[in-house]
Amino acid sequence: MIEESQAAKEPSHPILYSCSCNGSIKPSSDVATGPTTALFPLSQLYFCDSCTDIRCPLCTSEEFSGYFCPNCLFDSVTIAVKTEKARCNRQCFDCPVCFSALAVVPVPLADSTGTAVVLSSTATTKTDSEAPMSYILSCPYCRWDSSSLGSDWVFDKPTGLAARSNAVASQHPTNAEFEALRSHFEKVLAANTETGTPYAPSNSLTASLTSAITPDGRQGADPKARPSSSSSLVVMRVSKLLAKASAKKGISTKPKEVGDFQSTVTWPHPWTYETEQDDSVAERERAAALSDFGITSSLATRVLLSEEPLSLNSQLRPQRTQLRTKRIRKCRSCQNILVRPENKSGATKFTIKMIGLKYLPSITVANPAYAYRSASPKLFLRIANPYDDDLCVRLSSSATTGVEFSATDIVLKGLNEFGEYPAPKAGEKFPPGVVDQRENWAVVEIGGRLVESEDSATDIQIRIDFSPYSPDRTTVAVSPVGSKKGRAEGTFWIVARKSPVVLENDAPDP
Amino acid sequence: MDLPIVLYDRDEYIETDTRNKISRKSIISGPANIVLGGKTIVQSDCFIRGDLRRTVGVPGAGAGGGSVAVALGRYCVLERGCVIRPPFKTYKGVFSYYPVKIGDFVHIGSNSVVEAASIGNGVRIGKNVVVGRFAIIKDFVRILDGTVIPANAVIPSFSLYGGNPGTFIEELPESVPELFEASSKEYYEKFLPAS
Ligand SMILES: [Zn+2]
Ligand SMILES: [Zn+2]
Ligand SMILES: [Zn+2]
Ligand SMILES: [Zn+2]
Repeated sequence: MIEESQAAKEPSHPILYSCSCNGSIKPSSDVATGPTTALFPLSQLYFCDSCTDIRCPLCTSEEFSGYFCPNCLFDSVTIAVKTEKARCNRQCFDCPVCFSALAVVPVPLADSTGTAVVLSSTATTKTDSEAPMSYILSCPYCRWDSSSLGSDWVFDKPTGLAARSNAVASQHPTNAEFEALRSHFEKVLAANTETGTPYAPSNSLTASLTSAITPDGRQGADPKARPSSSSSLVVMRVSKLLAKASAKKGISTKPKEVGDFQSTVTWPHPWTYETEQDDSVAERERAAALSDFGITSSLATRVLLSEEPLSLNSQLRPQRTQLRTKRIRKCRSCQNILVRPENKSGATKFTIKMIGLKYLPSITVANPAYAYRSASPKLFLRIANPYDDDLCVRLSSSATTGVEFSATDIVLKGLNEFGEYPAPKAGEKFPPGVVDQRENWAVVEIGGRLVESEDSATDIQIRIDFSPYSPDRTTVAVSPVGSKKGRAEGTFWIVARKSPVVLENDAPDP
Repeated sequence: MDLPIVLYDRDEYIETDTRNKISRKSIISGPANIVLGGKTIVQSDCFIRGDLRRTVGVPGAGAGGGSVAVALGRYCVLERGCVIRPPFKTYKGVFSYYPVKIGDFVHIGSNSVVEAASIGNGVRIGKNVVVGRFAIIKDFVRILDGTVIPANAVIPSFSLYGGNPGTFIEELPESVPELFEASSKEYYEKFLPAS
């Protein structure tokens, strides 16, 4: 149910932190009685200081705060993002075959539509010769270039390429279809918000939308001119989503009729040549060409390119590079901003950055070297304090699991930015049960029934309570989350994935 | 998991004044043109081509000139078998090499070849990666093992790239600057001579 990112899938994260939201977008404020299904490595978590609780990617919301092109790194303003369909309006294009960024390359004018174009290695730089040059898009990786697409994709100057290509693209039927669909749904939306009722498609609307795309009289007339399967899918998907949304809200108001969507475009059916008998020479040549995988477009290409499925690489057009976004992240519970990136172009700093790494004790599996000291399988955890002030941490587990801790209440020194910690005195003893303690961290041993059992499928669940340390109070005050705003205090659960972290004792001495 | 302690042969490594640790089994050509920021580790069988330095447009870059060909920041690691080579091109009919600039907390996996124009701070490059000529890798980027980054590619901050050719896979979380800095420091602290 929860989509794990690439990072979470990697075995280097055997310790996962549980977010109290349990995967729902409304986090509860109760102290969880155990880990939930929302498990993330610490690096992907946030901390809301007004809720004093962990927030994860599921219980935070994002808002766009900026747009930039990942190739030229220029920022775009919102209005341009809309008109340009979130693609770069400068010179950036992706190779339609391998998706690398294309270079603008000068070629001698005479060769512009020829086949053997010698590519200059000095991409985008002018050559010395005064001879008139034309410009093509060329892939530095797979050597695809735009000269094969004809004069539309050979440019007389190396600037303003996006505008030129837009003009070309706007002639394409997919563009007209997209605009028609958009204006249709805008009408639907407008008709139903004017009256004050939130947009709520009923079954009748869904029916009217789908009726627009069910086979009609056109089908039999020309086998290649069925209504577009792609646009009908879009209509169907959108209406399904809208129906779902209204079902959730429990709204069943009948919306205003805006009429059926009429596709203005007819398309060849994508698999026409397989299902219909077409013995034309052109079609046979096309089919023969498809058996050469070197020139057949890849599945990724067909999925990602916005136009109709094109089966040959030579038909593909370069795509303007899709913009990426900078985003503000908010707590879904209280709308507190947890992350706000700096708006400056190319900035990597944040004006607000409430990440878990800075607000939650970090718990990692300690170096295997500790494990060699014990006779039976053990798990060693290193607990580190991210705060400047000393911190009390209590480890516990539900009694039934049989997990044992060598120490339960640990006092950790504050984090010292400069690494200046008093050198350990000779013969200095660690507090009882603490295996190792230095700087801002301590190592404790986890044993007991669960760790020693054969059942390697079971994860070890540990509850962590933390609060500021004061010399007159040596134990952790366990208080419900959210009671003390802005303090270094809280409760959360972690899950130690068992198989990769528990070491057998047969390892050789280090 | 904590990073493991890596023990090295004390005789194999030279430790500089700024606590760089460089394997004698690596080839550092043109050392006068190479700058290491401090606490940077160069493991065995690496090849840093400081000899391929810019020869045009730099005053005093003749014999014994002081131009920098390869600059690495603090807490960088070049694992076994890495090659760092300044990129070259012919500009206005003149062939020249251009410097490679690499920031702080950059970790390059074994057997990777780097011909980038620049690599920012906090970059993780996997094993067997090729970074093409004049590629620009911005701060806080991770590149998976075996990736081929084409020449002139630009990789924006907070990106995970992989594949051949390397393409964008996903965004990295906002915590990567802290994460990568901490792991680079941990790597250095745990890279110790075998006693
Ligand atoms: Zn959550
Ligand atoms: Zn761009
Ligand atoms: Zn390509
Ligand atoms: Zn909140």
